[in-house]
Amino acid sequence: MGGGTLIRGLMSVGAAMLLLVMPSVASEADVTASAELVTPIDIVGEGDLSFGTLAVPRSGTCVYDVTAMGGSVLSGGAECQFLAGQILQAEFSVACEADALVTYEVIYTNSAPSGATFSAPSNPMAIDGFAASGALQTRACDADGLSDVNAGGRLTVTPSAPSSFTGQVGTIRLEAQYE
Amino acid sequence: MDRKFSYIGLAAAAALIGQQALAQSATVDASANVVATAPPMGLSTLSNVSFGTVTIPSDASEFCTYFLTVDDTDPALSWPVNANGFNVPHPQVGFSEADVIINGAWYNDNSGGSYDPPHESCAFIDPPSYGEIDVDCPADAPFSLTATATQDGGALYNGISFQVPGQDAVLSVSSCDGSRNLIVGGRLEVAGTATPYTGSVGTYTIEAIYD
Repeated sequence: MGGGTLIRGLMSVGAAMLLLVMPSVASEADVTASAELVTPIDIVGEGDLSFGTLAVPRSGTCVYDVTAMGGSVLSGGAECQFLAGQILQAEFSVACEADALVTYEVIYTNSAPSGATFSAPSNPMAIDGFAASGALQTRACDADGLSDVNAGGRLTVTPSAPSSFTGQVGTIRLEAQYE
Repeated sequence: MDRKFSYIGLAAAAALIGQQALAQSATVDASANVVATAPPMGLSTLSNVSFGTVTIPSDASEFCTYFLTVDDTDPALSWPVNANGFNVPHPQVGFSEADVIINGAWYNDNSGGSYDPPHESCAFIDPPSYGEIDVDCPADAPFSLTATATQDGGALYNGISFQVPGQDAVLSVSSCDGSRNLIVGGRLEVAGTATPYTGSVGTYTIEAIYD
């Protein structure tokens, strides 16, 4: 019994020494944490695009463009006409970090009736009043932290389009992220 | 324990930065009102209206009104039809001395009676001629023609007034599938104070629109 007690005592001592040794071999390293804190981008669709009232041709194809600056351009025969109604480009408001580079992209989805197709025109997007350019652009956020993005649209109408249709022909989605 | 919390804090911060890198988006609709329409009409002038040579009233206090009326039985589109609302049954040729108003009094021979104006001071000397306009109307659809007269300033100053016969300024056409000729008349009022004049007395502007 007496020997057994001695052995347990030694083991206890060993364990205690081990605990004392461990802290003496630990090392430390520092890391630097960095972050760029920016204003979250917030996009609001401010206005829908509208083509107004358009004529369906009896023959040929009419291509109706609403430009990013709000103008109207048509190509096709004499039957192609913007007949009436307001012609409006799409409008987005983008809250972003002032002067930070932001990549914008407009994405078009067609939902026009058969015989008509909604798509992007050439140079579909204008940012903060600069000349309209491509569907994917990188530009500094406006100095006031609020950039205005306008988008145009194209409606191609063929004789097989419905003789009378009023409604949605598509959607325009604007995506934005910091560069 | 403090260091562990510190690491957790860094991880959270990194996650927040990662969120901001995600693209944000918004969507707007595009709408249109698409309608089938009749193809556009075209108008082209074939000849101008000419009143020829007319007389100036001999009495400075008088007015002569010269009508170029058009018979509505003409197979061509005739307009103005029955100028000023009067029944003027002149086949094909709708102008004559009979269609003269002197000082507001209408003198004509449509009653079958004799034509006897009070004097000879108002007369067509050389024959007038109608204006003619080609109306290209490819759709078989009703349309309306509207005329607006613009008087020549010089002629008006000289006591010569060119007008669209009032109530006939709008002509409705039931259908026109192809091309029709529009015959155009007019009305010219000449004051006794007018001096001899040769030239334009005004302009017709004619607008065609589908009803």
